[in-house]
Amino acid sequence: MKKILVSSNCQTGGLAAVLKYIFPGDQILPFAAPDIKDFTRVAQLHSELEDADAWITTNTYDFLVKDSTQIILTPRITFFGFHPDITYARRNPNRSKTLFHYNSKIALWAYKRGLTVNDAALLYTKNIYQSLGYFDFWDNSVDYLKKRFLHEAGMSQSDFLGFYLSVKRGGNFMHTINHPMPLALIELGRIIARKLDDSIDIVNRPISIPDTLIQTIWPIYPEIAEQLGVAGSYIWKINGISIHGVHDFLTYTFNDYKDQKINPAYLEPEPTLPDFFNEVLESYIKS
Amino acid sequence: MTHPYKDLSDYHFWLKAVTYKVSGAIDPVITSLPINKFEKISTMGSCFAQHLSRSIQEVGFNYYVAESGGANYSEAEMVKRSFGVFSARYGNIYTIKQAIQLFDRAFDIDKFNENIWSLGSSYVDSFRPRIEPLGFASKEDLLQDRNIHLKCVRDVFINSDWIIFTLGLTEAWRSKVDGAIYPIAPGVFGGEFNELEHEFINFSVFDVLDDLRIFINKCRSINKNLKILLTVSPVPLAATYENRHVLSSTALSKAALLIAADIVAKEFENVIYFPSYEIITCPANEGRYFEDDLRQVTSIGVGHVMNIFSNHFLSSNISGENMPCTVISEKSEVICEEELINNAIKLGSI
Repeated sequence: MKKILVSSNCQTGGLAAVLKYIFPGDQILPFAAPDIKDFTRVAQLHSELEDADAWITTNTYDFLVKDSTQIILTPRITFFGFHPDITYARRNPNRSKTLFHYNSKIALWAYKRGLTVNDAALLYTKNIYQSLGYFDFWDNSVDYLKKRFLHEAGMSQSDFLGFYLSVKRGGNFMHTINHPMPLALIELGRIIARKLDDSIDIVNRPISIPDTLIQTIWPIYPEIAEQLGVAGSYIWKINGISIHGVHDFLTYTFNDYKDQKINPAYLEPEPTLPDFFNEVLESYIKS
Repeated sequence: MTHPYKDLSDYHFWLKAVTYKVSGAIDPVITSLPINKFEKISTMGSCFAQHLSRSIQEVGFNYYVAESGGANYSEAEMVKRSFGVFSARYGNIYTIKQAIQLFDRAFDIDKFNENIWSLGSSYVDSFRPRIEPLGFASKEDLLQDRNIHLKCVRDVFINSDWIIFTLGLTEAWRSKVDGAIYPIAPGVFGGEFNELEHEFINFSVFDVLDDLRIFINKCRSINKNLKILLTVSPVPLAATYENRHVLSSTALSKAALLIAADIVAKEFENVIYFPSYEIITCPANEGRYFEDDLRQVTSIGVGHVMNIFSNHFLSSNISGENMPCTVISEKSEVICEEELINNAIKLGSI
């Protein structure tokens, strides 16, 4: 029985589940990648790695492993194509992240601009999405994901294409920009499994894992979904709570910002939005 | 080293134009002709054509309705009675032969018998069986309404700048008595099937081609500047009367329509082909563009078709500000005689 450690971000559990499905006789141990400054967790990881045969990881802390341990780098699946309106944001002078990490770029802009919920809701339209470039995110998102495969994980072009073409067939494969659906984790798991042992045929059979990333689901806005040929909606699921419609989502978001006592002046999207974003929304408000 | 494919555009290559693309971005339109916002656009054809009618109205173009029903009916009543579903109240026109017949009836070129079917105690116009959901109360009412209707049909052919025709089927039922083509088999909704009076016909690609040429020439004879946009419905046959699998009949029927449309689009000036069929049936969609019955088209699929249609034929005439969203409502209903066959199967009568 081999001992295989899996260390990634919130994809760790799903990836470990896929590998457990493929290698039922091995010990598959999920161990979320620790912050390098978290000495306690790094020490725990070091200890677990001492007798590990393989380490599937997003970080090459190779000083932690002995030479005989097989290291397989895995990319963090990040894809903006379905959710171009999501952004991370800082909420205070200390640059802490907003408590709920995902923010709507449009909602954030509207909150900073002092718009009411009703006025902000008018910004969720096809014309505005088009002007903000939301319909053109797909190709850049594919390139970004490809870089993660090739450069972050050192995988091959063929690995990436096999993954991308397969997950694309299913329509939407992301709950949020960095929470993949099971089909994406399964395809990534297949690639990793082949690197661990390319002789087993179960890799090519149907694989099923539970979806552990469903607490938060960001909708594909219908107007964007139409451009992608997938189903869309305005139903958010935030920390397990369903929110129906743009108006309710904005009410929730604005209240959440207020509850966090966020001064609009300090609320900043990260990365910074391009200048035209402000210009597009300002011109709409003025018109 | 050079080869003939070297300098071709991306759309020539499956890998670039289909494999790598997200399904909603697949755009097979190469030829287009912008529609002016003020030009009168009329629609006719199979059930799928109703999506085009609706979308043209939604984007604020000049969807021409010659038979509007006036102020006689409420909005709900208008929909129920198929006012505005097409430019005149002709119902679904599944075959090009049916379209020629409509033209000839409207302009008194060819005479047909009354072709009135009974439906319980009411009467059905066999040329457009579902126009009145419960049928007409009397034959006189039916004939009176038919006269008004045919006048409006003349208006459509004479005054339209564009006719968008969606080719649906090659299979049809015909009267042995006067050659009339029906949109649905006698007996399915009114009337009674009788082997002595009715016969099945499946138009070949040559028949469809000849009929398309005849139809275009007839239309142009009274409206020489008319532009025609042809498209093929992606909706599979609800049933085939040929002794073969319905899947094979669907493939052959659609192939005949596609070939004929392609040929006339090359032959005639201002006759354009729009690839609705290809967009909906593209393997990149993984079946997402079909409902669970694997026949009706989903709102996502219709949205894709309308997006491509708007981008190539309508968008240059619309300012960005006024461009309404073409996202199609999930509840968009389509009136389809052919669907009656499926309903009959579900009810156990077939």
